[in-house]
Amino acid sequence: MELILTYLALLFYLSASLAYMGSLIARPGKLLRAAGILTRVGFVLHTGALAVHLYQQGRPPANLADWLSFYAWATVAVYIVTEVHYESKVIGSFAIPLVVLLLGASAALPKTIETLSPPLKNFGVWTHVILTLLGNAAFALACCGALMFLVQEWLLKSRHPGILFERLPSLKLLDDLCHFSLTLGFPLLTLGLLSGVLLSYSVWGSFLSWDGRQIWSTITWVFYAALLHGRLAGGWRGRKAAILSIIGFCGVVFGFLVANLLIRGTHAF
Amino acid sequence: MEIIVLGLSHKTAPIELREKLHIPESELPEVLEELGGCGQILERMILSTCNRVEAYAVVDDVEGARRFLVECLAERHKLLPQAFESSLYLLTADQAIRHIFRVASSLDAMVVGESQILGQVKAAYAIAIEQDATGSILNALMDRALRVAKRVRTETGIATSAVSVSTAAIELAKKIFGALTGRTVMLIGAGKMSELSAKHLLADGVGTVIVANRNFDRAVELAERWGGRAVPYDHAKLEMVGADIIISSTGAPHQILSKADFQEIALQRRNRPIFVIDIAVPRDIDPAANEIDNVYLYDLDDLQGVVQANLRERQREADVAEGLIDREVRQFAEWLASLHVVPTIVAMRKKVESIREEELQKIFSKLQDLTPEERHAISLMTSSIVNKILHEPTTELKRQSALKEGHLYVDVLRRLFGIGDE
Repeated sequence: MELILTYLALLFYLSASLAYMGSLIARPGKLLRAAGILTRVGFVLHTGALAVHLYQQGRPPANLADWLSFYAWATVAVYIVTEVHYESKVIGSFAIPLVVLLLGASAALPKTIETLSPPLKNFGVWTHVILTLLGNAAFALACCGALMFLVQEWLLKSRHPGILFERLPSLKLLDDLCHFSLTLGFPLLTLGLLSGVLLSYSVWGSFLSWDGRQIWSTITWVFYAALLHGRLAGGWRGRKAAILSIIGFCGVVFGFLVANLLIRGTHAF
Repeated sequence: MEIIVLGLSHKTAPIELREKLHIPESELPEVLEELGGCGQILERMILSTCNRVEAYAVVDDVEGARRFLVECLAERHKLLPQAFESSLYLLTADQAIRHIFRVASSLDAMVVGESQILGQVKAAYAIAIEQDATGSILNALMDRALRVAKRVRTETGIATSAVSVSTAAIELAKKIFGALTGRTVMLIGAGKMSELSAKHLLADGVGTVIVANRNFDRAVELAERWGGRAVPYDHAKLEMVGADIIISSTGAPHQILSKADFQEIALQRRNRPIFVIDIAVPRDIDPAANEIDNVYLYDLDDLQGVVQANLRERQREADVAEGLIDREVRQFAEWLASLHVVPTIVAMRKKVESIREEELQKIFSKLQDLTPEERHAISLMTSSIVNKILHEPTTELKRQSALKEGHLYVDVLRRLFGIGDE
């Protein structure tokens, strides 16, 4: 059941992606409306899949496949919020393909079930997981905004704007979107990490066990803290901020995929 | 009965001639009335803009109507027909319908996709209606033309992108800043071009205008007009830090702002974007300034390049629109053709009906003792026989009327049923 729902959701996200990307070259009106509906249907199905997963297994994501699926879900959630907030659906042409990649990778990965040590099945774990997920999802969106910013900026600088230029939103909106996502994601990530530290103390009696995941999370946290500080205090905006947002997100993904495969610890799945 | 278009446009006549033949809106009612005096012209309207003077009419005799129209035009403008006849085009039937659809949809315009023409067509049509100069055919045609124009606008991208330098500049500004409300624009040099661009920007909500000019009095004059601020030319660089959009158009023979100047300005603006439009020839600003982050520099050639690209894009969309118009013309022509058969169908029914009535009277006078109910039943039966027999020829005739050989069917039917010409 979970599998069917996941595949269905993936199918809807995939069609939504095609519609979103098509809207960049063809007439956007109907395509964007369709894409919006497809995304929401996909989201409902995806939510269903995760609900079934939780009901059956009763625990947080425990392997890389689950993680990616939850991550994709959180990204769609944050995306829908921003789409409504900015009344601009074009962002979806970058965000939803990314979701397809995440969920596609999740579906392709083996679902090995690792046992989670019993003390980790409590409310604290959930707080930790949900907060860090949503925080990272906001960073994914910031990355999409940044990519669109760079494309639009390049088109403007080239002085030969074309149809794509016309379809993409203004630099101002894209920069605002980046900023909004960062200011949304950073506190979430901070709280997520803090809850993780407290959790670690309550379970193991030490704040940090310095596994790969924790080290990497701290690095990304410091990176985003610096980026946000630069934006607010140093007037970093536009191109420079966009590039840093993309690097930050690459770091998040790197942490997900590579660090976990190489380094084993309490976060290993 | 034929739909015709007679007129001239920017495609066939130079502006001098169009000016001479232009009919001001205030004179249209008079002209329409004059045209009504011609027995050949059944329905009429006049469209007169700076790019075209055209008469749309439903006429009985095309040649007669043409002669009358040309004479009218010549007399009104005190010209010899020879002076403009070679620029005139006369379109009939499907070609006329297509032309009217294309004009209303702005496909025949000088700048394809410009929006003014639709309003002008609407106004001309309204005047014709007011003068009672139109009838069922021209009304149907113009209603359809306005609907087609709306379809073209919404279903193709013909009117989406900017096709003049100043609107292109505004479009670019919006892609940088989003809404322009509250932004500051600064004019360096106060020439005609920068004045025009500033006017457009103000109409789009730009908040503050700063004017710097070598001739300070002129700067003050312009600034006052827009409720802006004039600054001494030597302070221009300082003031640029506060400006989001800069329009430079001095008559200076050399560059007045270097890349380094803009590096400094960008730094002081803390990387808030700045849009610089250099419309001076020779250029005021070092083109290399475009390489600086958050500085977007466009010169006149760049803007014209954007306009050209947009025009090409419009042309592509116009091709899509032509396909749409093709279908609409076909539909309207079919409807029009079906009108021709209506009199024939009516005549055929009348004839058969009269035969039925006659025969009923005969039989009723022979069978005197029929009850009213029986009479009614017989009458019903005959009428249903008539309807059933006529059903097939009627529908087939309507169907054939839309096709090329439709008139043959009308002729044959008229002969077979012995219906004379009306």
